[in-house]
Amino acid sequence: MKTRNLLFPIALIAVAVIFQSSVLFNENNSVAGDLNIPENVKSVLDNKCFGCHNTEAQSDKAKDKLLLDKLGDLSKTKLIAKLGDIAEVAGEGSMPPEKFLEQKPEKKLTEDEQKLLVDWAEKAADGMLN
Amino acid sequence: MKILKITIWVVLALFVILQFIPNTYPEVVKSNEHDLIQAGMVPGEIEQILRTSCYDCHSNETKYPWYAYIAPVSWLVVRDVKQGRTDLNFSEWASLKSRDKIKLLDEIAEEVDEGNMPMPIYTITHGGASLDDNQKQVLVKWTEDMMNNILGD
Repeated sequence: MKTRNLLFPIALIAVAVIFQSSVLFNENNSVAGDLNIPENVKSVLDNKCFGCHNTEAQSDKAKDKLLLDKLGDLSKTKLIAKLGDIAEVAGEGSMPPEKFLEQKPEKKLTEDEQKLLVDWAEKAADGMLN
Repeated sequence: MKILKITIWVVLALFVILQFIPNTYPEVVKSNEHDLIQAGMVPGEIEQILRTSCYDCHSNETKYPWYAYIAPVSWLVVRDVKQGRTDLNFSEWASLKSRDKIKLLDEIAEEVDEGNMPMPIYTITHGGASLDDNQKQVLVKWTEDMMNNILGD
């Protein structure tokens, strides 16, 4: 009887903990910001770009070019410019860099993913101009 | 002494042969309907800077100096003008999408601020083309004004 009474509060706490950690997870380990990035785009960015382009990453060069966890801090014009850069490198296939792909070939963008990123970045930039 | 003489002759002969290797110069077009300056979109001070420091590579109005016609220098000139026009061509400015204009303006500000542009190989031979701190500041401020104008459209 007693365990039954405890079940509800425990479940509640469990839900709260899971919710909290998922929020934390989002803040620390993936692309955030108020860009309203569609899930499919976000998952490509998270899987193939975020590893180098986040505040905690190793490479200063990558961090200097783009911080996916800080997109929300950019001014409107900077954000439009960054989206343009993303569309450009995704379109050319110059990112992830070849040297990196030699170590991790699974990180290469597929053609569909390239197109997805380009379309998204261009549309998002245009959206901010209207 | 004989070896020196032969070497000089060989080098000279090579130099002459180099001149016969074909080299396609990006065309010079003076009147461009979509040109940034010709569209009357920039203040005089900026026009002056752009024409002196940027337009040889970043427009269709390239002024080729005499040595641009002598190999192997000519190859460098042609390569840089081609690359310059591909990356940013002010003669096509008005035909660009707004988002591309903002991307380029942001890039201009960065390149100028960091002193990467104009390129050293250009300023060595074009003394007046290097930008002093004041000119850099003026140019960066202009890119910001332009970007805000585009946003406000």
